Amino acid sequence: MNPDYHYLFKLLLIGDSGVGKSCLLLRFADDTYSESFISTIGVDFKIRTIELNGKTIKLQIWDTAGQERFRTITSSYYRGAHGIIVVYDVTDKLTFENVRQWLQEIDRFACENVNKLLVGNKSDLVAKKVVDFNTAKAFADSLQIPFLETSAKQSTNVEQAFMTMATEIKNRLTASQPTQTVDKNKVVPGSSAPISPKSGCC
Amino acid sequence: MNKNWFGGFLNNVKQTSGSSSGGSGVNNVSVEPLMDKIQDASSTIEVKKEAVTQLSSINRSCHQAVGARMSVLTNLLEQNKDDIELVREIIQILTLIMTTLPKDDNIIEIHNTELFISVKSNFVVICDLLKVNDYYIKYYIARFLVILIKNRFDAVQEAILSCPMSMPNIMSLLLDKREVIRNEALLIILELTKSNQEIQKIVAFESAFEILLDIIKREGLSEGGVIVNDCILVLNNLLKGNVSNQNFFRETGCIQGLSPLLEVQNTDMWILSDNKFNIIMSTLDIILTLVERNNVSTPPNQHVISHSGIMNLIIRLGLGKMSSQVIRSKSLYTLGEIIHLNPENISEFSGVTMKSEVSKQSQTALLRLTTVMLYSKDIIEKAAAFHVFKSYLYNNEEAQMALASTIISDSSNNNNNNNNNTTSGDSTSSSNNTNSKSNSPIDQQQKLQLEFENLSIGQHLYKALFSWETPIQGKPFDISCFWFASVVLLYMLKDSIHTKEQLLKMPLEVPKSSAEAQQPVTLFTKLMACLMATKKQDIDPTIKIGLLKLLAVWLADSPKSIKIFFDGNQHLAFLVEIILSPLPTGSSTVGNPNLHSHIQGLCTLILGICAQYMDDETAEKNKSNLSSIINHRITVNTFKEKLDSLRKSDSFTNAEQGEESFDPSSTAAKTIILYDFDFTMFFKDVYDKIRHIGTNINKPRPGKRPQQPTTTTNTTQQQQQQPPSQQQPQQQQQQQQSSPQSSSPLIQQKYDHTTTPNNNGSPQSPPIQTVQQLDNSIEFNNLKKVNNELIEQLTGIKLQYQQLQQHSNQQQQLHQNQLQQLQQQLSTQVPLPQSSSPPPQQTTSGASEQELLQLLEDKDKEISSLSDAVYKLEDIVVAKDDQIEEINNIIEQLKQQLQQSQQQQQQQQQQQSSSSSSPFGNGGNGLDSSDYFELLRLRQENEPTQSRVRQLENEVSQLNQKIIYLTNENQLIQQQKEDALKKITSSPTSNNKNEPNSLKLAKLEGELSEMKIKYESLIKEQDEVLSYSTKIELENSNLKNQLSKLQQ
Repeated sequence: MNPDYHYLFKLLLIGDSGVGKSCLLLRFADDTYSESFISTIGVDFKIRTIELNGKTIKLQIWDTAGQERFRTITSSYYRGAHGIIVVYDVTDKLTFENVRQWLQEIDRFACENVNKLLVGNKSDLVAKKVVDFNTAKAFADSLQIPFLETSAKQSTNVEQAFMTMATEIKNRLTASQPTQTVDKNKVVPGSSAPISPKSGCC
Repeated sequence: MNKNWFGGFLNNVKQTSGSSSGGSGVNNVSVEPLMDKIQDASSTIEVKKEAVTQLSSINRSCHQAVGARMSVLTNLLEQNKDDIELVREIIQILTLIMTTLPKDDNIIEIHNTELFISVKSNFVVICDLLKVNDYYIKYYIARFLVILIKNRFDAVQEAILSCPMSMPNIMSLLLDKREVIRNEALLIILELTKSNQEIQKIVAFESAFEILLDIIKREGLSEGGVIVNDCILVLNNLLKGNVSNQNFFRETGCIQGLSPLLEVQNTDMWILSDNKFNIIMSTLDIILTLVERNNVSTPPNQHVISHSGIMNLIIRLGLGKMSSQVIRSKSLYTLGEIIHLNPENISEFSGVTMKSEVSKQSQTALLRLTTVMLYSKDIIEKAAAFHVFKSYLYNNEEAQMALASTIISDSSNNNNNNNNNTTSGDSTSSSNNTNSKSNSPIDQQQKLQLEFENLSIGQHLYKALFSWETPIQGKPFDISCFWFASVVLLYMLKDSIHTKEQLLKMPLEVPKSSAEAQQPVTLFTKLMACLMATKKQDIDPTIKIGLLKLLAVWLADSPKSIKIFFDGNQHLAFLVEIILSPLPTGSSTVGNPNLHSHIQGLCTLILGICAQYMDDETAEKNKSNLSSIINHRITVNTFKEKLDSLRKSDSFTNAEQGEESFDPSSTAAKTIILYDFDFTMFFKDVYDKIRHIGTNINKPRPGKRPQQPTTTTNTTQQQQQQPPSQQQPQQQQQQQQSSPQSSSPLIQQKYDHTTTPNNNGSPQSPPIQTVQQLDNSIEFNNLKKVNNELIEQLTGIKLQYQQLQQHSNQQQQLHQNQLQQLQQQLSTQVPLPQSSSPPPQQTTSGASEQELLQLLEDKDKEISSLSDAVYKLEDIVVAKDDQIEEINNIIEQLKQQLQQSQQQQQQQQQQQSSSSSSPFGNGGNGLDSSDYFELLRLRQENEPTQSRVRQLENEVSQLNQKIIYLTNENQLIQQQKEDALKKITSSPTSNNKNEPNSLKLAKLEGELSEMKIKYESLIKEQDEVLSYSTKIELENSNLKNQLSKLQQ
């Protein structure tokens, strides 16, 4: 195999239904936006390649269903993810309050060293905004998680969100591998990072 | 006391061990105490473990007893996850009581499986134990899962999706370095991924593609064994019908990983192991999955397959020296799918060259493909090669024209001097090949070889298409060679007018100076000459079908081809003769397919194509003749009957199901398939156009049809002026026709002097009269039917108006109800604004918005229905115009008949004078008697003609009256149309008339005005509702602000 990238990162988008996870992915991967709302069934994915400090990184971004009835299916995707983006809607306080539950899901199913990012979407709806930036920022800082407000509709901070996540993952990799890797053709972070077994799955 | 109890237990144990070789009843009895001990909370763990150990050796008759109390074991398992030995034994017991045997009915074992899966926590425990890094636990659980999947596949899939982290745990078995566990995991995942896209996605997410390709590599790639094939089968499960996984597979560079699996060594060309055969076949299945038709991911997959070199490997497998015919055929079929609708891959394939097997010179892959298709001995391989040609020529006019240019036959003009031909592996090999034995003299082989080497692709096709004319002794004729040549030529011409015209002009041989005056032989003239020759020889009907299909595709949408077709005097007669010939009696042979109906259907199709696509120049000469043939000699019913018999045949209905997939095991793949999917589409497209051929053939072209009644009257006047100019050619034709008629009665008099001439003359005229009367009556009935249909359409439109009226009334009521609801909501919200919560208000505003959207949709529907009504009125006007034109045509025909009958009378009078003046050798008595009889015959003949003239005159007057009536109706309908348009554009005019139809118009106008008024009122109500909704939104926002302040 002769892959055309240096790193392959698997990112997961989670959050309540209707917060705009699919719109974020569509904007980042295809640079398009759709007003119509169609709930994601199960899981879907898109791929985009980016350049980061001279390295070619291929991002596999998996878009999950936020509805409760798909929770058990989406839980299967946590362990294999290198980065998880938790999305809420700035105009819906309940979606922000549920971020705690989503973070608990991550702690329950994902690897301990998975990278996380908190994203508040729909920032263009200023008149309807109910979740204050400072409140969310303080919450994220308390958990040592990067935080961004985005607008998939107006393409605000969408690139930055995914670039931030990629940067965080790459930094974690370089930190965990002090010596240079001999095989530079391909690096899969999941296989190199130690996986600690967990008990009490449910 | 204690001693007695302990002694009793020992006695029981002895009895159990002693009776193990005895009856099974004792064993069933002994299971219960063991289960009781396990379930007893007061028992020590050691006692329980001992009981479990004894259960491990139960026989088959105890499965039901243990299964009924399965929860005892599963609870013990859940409570002692860390006890490795106990876990091993419990898993083994569970596996044992669910293992099925081929000889038994397995009811109990299946039931035990259902009991286990029905408790969700059981599956959670099992999957959680996969994290324990113990060889036997992993192995036993893997085997246990295989049993569960085998017994209840669907239930296991559901359990996996409902149990978090179950699939990732199963996938971790694939990463185990111990191959036994990994291979068991492969079997589990191979089964689980056969369906359910969600499971397939989870497996793919867990890096399955990378893991599987890594296993394939470590197991030796194409030299590997069954493990490699299992991995390939899993990959195909993950990709088949799963676009998401296909995108994932492609974007992560996994398609390139398939290349080594398709690489073969030179030794594999002759001796191929079963494992390698299976690996290649399974890998080709993956490629076919990636390039499946009507799949959004197919174009990018095709692109990667080409750029990664896989397409070249497949070309080598299909056109190289691979000994396996199955692999060659499947590779060619796969190649056809890789280049299908992909111009990039088509271009790359056309540039591929291969080394000739015999002369060691390079030849194009396309030429090699031609020889495989024509000369291979395996029809499945031929069909696969043809499949590549179809994809190569489909929607590719450049390739069609380039290939057509190679048909010309003169080596000096060949541009492909380097094109050297060689036969395929199964064909007769040459003397240079040391592995084969020469069966014929070297000289003969050299001649054949030289002949082959000098032929281009087109020349091969031409030779195969016409080789049946000159059969070679000792060499049997290969019908499949002809067939595939004909269908490739068919696709060469399909949907390409330029190629058709190119081949119409291109001579088959370079014209010499000596024969320059002679017309050159083209493929078309050669084709028609062969078709003429088919009726003289007793040949395979498949040849006729192939040639007729090719001719039909050639003539379709090609007026120039049709012109050349009619230049041949016997071409039309050839088709008509076949159509009118009776079907052979097939009652004696019931099983044999009757191909004559296919031949008749194709000839009928060609006639329809000629009538549909001929240009004006050709129509002037041939259209009336063709119309007469179709309407009178063949009849419209027979015309349609022949087409329908072909369309309803098994060959046709099977072909129109869709494109056939590669299935060498099916019986159809081993025979010549008369029709493919594309031809059925072509047939149905032409069929829809020529279905009403009897009436359409007299119809003027739509571009020249007048659209206003005033121009109609002008055209009728012009047509009346035309008859004097047309009288001369008609008179000439009649004179030509009359000369044989004048000679025939004289001949009859000479030979049948004794018989009475009156009998000969009288039966001829009545059938003509009856036929004409029938035609007129049929036409009158058709006109009446059309009028009735128009009346029904008018009533339908009225009903639609009524429905619209009712609909508007209903909407009005809905609006009132909605207004009341809104008012109620406002009244309820105003007195208690602080107590209401924000969510209900949001839902209220959302509901009102939805209602507004629905109202808008209803408005759009009303407008569309009104416009539909206008369109229908326009259609009625057009139909009326058509009817008027048809009636005018009928009148012209009747007038012509009148003129003909008058001319016949004049000619008959001339005959009388000529016959009276002619001398006869007989005596005066004979002359007098013959003159007398002839006079009687003429008088009797004149009487029916005169009556016919009177009838025709009456019919003409009636038709004129009908024309007047229809023109009046047409004017009325146009007025209705204008009124409707005015009503819609809100500019009404009052036109009251005292005619009887004015009442209907007044009603329609009234209805339209009422509709307009209601429409305006609805618009006003809509505005009111919008204003109400804006008010409600404002109030909602105010309430939200108040609530936020209260919260602060």
